[in-house]
Amino acid sequence: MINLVRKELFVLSYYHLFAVLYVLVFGVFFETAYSTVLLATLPAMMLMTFASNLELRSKSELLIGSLPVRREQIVLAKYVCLFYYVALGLALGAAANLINRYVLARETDWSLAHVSIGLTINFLFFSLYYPFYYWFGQKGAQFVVYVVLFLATVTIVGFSDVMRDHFDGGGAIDGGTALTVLPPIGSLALLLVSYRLSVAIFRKKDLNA
Amino acid sequence: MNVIEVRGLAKQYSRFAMKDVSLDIKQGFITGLIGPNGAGKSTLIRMLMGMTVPGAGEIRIFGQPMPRSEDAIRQRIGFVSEECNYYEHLTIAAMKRVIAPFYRHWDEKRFNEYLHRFELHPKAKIRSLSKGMKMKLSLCFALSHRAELLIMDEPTAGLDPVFRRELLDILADLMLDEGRSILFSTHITTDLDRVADYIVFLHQGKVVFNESRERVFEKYALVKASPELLDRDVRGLFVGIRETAVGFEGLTERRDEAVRLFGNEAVVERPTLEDIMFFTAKGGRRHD
Repeated sequence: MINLVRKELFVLSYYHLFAVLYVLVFGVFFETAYSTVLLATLPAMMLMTFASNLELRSKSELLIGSLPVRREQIVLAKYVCLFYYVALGLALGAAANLINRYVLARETDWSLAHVSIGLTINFLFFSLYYPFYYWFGQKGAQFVVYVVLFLATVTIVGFSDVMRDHFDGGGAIDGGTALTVLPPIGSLALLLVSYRLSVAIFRKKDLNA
Repeated sequence: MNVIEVRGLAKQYSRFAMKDVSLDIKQGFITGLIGPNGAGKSTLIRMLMGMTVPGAGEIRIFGQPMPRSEDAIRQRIGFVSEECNYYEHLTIAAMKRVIAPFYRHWDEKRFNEYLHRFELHPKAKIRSLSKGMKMKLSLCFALSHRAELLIMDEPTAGLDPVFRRELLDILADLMLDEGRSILFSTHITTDLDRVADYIVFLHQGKVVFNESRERVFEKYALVKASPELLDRDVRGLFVGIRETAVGFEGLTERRDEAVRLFGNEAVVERPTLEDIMFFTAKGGRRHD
């Protein structure tokens, strides 16, 4: 399984730069009111989409399926990589915030609430995406990804408006720590269910079908 | 001893069905899998590799059940696919860094030797390789982890005749030196004339025969004779007949009976594998 995770991240190679570029352009050069939440969520989705597109383009699911790994491990590696994408996305968002605050002397928000929302939206997105990915096959999932990305962006923009009105002074969402902590935990539980569902689907599917 | 055992394998697609396929592949031999396009060769190979899920049936490789022991089984298999599904944006060296860690017995020295032999440069990008070069690369990977069984789906497709001959020599050498087992599908049947010990013939998702090459040629005969000899009873002797205005050619799997029946009135020849494939696939169509 470690080799599969390593493979996924290695194959992305310079595609990481696109995520960095996105954060610089939309988080630093053209910063808007929606930037903070967008930065906490979209880089992870971008990286996951790049990884899926690379696999689709080269039909490498067949290559992976010929390697000495179990189908469960292939699915597990995909889900493990998500944590890397999310962590990298949040780190890049935090870096953009630091540049804005300390280099460009701008007033910006970057708090526990943003991390909470970033985690929640990402986990929800991935929970939906991967069962479709394994159910419809890679091509079908490409359509799904664009629909879900559109919905995610609309949700993120909506969240940004709501958040501005519901922050408390400590960076948590109004209503206390529970409202900041529970959504990511809930979406993580959904991710676990999604993983079990993806394994069940993938076990019965022909590769690259 | 069998390296692969297949029992009652079935797979249903909308336009193709494989039904009740059972066969054994002998350990230590080269087995050729032949059949016309759409016969089910790739479907069978993908099921053996665990890439396609069978509708029914059982597969055992090295005595272990597939897919229950899929990782352990694939550790001992070198796989070459007609489609080389490597990441196009990577170099050969980078692709090797992706694949090598999966194999416990990866042999770096041997991999580099094969790259050199096949004139592949480690810094070349996969997307810059021709189909033939990708196939060579695929062979480099398949031959570099001391696989006991090579499974190859149309490995000679897209290769020039020089390299095709070289590949067949490599396979023959592997069998001499290391006693591996090889299963490879092809519709270039002359490749099998050179190296195959056993032939499996698939047609319309069913096994027509699975025999040693010698036995196949002992059994089958190509009969050429004038059309007046072709009555209803005689037709029943043939698997497939090709009729023209001046005579007919027919393939029979009862060579001895054909020799006895026609005597000196017909020419009875040893068919090629291509003849066997052609007549079995086409049946008794008339060609004027």
